[in-house]
Amino acid sequence: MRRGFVIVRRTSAAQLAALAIACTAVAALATARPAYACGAYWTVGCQYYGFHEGHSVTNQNGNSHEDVYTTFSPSNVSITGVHTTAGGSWVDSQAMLYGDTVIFFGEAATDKNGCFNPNSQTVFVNCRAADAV
Amino acid sequence: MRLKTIRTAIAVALLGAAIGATYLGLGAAQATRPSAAPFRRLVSAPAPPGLRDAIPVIAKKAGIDPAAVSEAGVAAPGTPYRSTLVGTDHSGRIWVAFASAYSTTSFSLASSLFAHRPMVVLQGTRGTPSQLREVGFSVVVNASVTRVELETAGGSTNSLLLTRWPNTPYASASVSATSKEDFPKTVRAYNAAGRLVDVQQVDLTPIQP
Repeated sequence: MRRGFVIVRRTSAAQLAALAIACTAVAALATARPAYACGAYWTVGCQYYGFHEGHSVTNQNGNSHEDVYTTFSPSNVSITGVHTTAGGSWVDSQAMLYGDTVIFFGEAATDKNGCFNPNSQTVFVNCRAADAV
Repeated sequence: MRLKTIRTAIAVALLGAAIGATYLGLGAAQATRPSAAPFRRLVSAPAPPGLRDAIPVIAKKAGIDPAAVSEAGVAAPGTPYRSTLVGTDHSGRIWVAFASAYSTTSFSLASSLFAHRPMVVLQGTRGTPSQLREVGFSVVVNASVTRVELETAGGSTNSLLLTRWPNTPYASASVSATSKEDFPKTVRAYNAAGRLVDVQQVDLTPIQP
């Protein structure tokens, strides 16, 4: 009787472990990030951004209006478009929804633009900076 | 008897003074923004020149006539410019962009903003890596929200005056602040029954890209 009880417990533990693995796999599939086509179009980058991590590139052609376009995952958060000095010091920022473009006005020819992750989680970010107007 | 009459007169005078002071104080507080910011065409509003240059670009991408873009929920006079821009495309769909004195987002479909929550808060900040110099945000709500409350970094709390967008279920407001204690910190949305339906925090951390 006692032995049988032990066998039942062992079987339950194995089943629970299998169930946990199956649930983890299903959850991973359900939350899998969409595929991103990285390439030259994303002039700033196409990569994971950690908490409070940003990347930028120098103003294109010295124009005063520059835009930043981004897509990211998870898409139910917001990413920040940033305008910095040539040395990389932050000047201005604007939160952006998924697929938004933000246009910054009145930039110096040597300023930079890019994307910044203000979220407390790592986010995969596609970021493009280019002439706006 | 005479003494009692004098006491009564003094009490009435003090009460009247108190009521008057309260009324005048309230009047002074409301003088900064007596009513919600107007919903008006951007062409007739004192918008920043850089924004005017950008409007044709973002409006045409959304299929909106640039001349028909309206300004809703602009920040209070005397504070840095911030507003929501509203436009309608040829199919009658409502679009919104978030603008400031220094930048503007592209137009997004208003209906797409509320997939996850009844209130959207998008902030903008300026400063140095060690110090915030300006913090602002625009808030857009759907019909389920009737009141939006702002708590500042200094601890004061006040209701925002929402600008209703004509013939739509949406409303918006904007806030800009340049002093530390006025920086917006927490935005709360309430429904008609007074129940809290959404809370969003404004990130007051300087950016170090």
